[in-house]
Amino acid sequence: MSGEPELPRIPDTQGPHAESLGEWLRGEGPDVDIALCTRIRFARNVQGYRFSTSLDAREAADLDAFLRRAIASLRIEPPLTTHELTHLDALEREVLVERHLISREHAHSERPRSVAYDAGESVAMMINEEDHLRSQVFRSGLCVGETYRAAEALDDALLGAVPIAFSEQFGFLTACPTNVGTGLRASVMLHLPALVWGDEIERAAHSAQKIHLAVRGMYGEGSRALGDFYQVSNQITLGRTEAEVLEDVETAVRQLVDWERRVRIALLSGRKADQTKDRVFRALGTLQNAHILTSEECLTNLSAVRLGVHQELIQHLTVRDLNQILLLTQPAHLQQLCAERLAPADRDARRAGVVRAVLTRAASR
Amino acid sequence: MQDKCTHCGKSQCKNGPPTVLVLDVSGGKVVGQHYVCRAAAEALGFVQPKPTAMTLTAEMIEQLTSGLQAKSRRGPRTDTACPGCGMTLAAFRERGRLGCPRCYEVFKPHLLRVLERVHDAVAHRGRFPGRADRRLPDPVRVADLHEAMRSAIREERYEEAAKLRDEIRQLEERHAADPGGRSQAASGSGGPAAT
Repeated sequence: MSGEPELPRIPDTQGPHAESLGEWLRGEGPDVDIALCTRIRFARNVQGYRFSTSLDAREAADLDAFLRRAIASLRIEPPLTTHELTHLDALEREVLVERHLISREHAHSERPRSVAYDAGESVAMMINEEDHLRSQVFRSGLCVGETYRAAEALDDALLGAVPIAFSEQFGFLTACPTNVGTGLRASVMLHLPALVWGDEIERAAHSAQKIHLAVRGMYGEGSRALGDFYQVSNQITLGRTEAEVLEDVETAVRQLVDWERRVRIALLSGRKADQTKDRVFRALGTLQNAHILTSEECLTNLSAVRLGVHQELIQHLTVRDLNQILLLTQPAHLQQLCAERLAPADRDARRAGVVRAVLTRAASR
Repeated sequence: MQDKCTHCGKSQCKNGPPTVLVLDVSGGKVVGQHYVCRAAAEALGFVQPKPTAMTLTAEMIEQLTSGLQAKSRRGPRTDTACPGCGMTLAAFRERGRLGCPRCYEVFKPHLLRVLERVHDAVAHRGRFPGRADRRLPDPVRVADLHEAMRSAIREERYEEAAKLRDEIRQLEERHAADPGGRSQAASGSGGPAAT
């Protein structure tokens, strides 16, 4: 088709390859039609050092170097590669944020800091974030137990190699008291379009909040959850065992998944079916034809199309196609893909081009 | 109790039924009696307003406990600095981040209140580094067992309660004999020099 953009290959950089989706968007695993990814994070600090936020530049550099060496010496699978963030430019750091390998704060901080991650992007360890180490393990789909076991094995290896600040009363000591104790954050990323369309999302969020779980939108500011993506995670880290926390998160997430599934069925039966199909296919039409797409419009339409793919209304697209669009249409990926800095207005045109390119390629399979 | 409040004339207002007995006294003798509702009694100045739950705010409790702790436990003043990093309580309150692991001991009285509010708990019950069996430390385990014993008694499961009592006794004896017998910190091979 003339005028349709080719999907350019991303230039090789120190950052991950944009053609790969990473573990969190792999699109396989239990309940992946609703639960995109499970993440387990441990916050740990090294004995004998002040917390990262109180280190001067020389101490931060010393600690960063010490932890890079320590991580390199860990006998773990998969092997990790370490990158000093001061050696990456702002765009490359933003790409890592968009791939969930580092936090936005870590990208923007000015102290010496690093990240270590594996080729499949299932493990990421941030060095000198708010805590000296934030170890994260990702698994596609809803698998809290398996993800925790992998994170615990990584943590065991770390505890065997590095003296970690710990107190009998308070557990693992962290810069912020909201993380002290287990230092564990278990979170599951959920796609809940039916609960949003059916006006059930507030009730659903409230039911999770009652057991001290946080429900946040993954994209967008404040309470608006662009693309109907939500992250459910524990807030309490002290006074409960890891097993109890994991059970809380798993139970709540399973309830949300079942709830979403029931509402999806309801939205596709009876009088609502036509409205739902109309919404799904209008969204697909927009993505296939638009020449300007804002980030918000892209996420909103992708949400409807994702529902259509999972409910088998749309046959020719796969979840991986949608995940690729989700990843590549983010501002930093878009700019890296186009190998140039883009003003927001230019990004919207390029974004529409990338979406059309992926959808055209999928249609010609 | 009479049917109607003689002040507002109602048998049941939003403040409840008339429950306050008013005695009319003249020359040292009771010459009459009638009932008013609680609100009317307060309005007429017969009784002091009842303190409501809202009267004791979280801020007041905090002020009260910080005052008590300042006297009894010599809690940190806001300008007391942590010897490990120089962080003061005032700076912690402003930044919301502690400076180093020692801050947890230095600012413990204040932190206990923060932790109680944030986590509804003040003691770790999770995993311990470098401990093969990863059991909870005795003091925490004892607290859990006490709770289990209390609920066993409440539910009249006396045999189970007796077993729990024996287990608590054993643990307490063991802890008394070897209070520091468990690991204090994660230990690793090698590490950076303390700074």
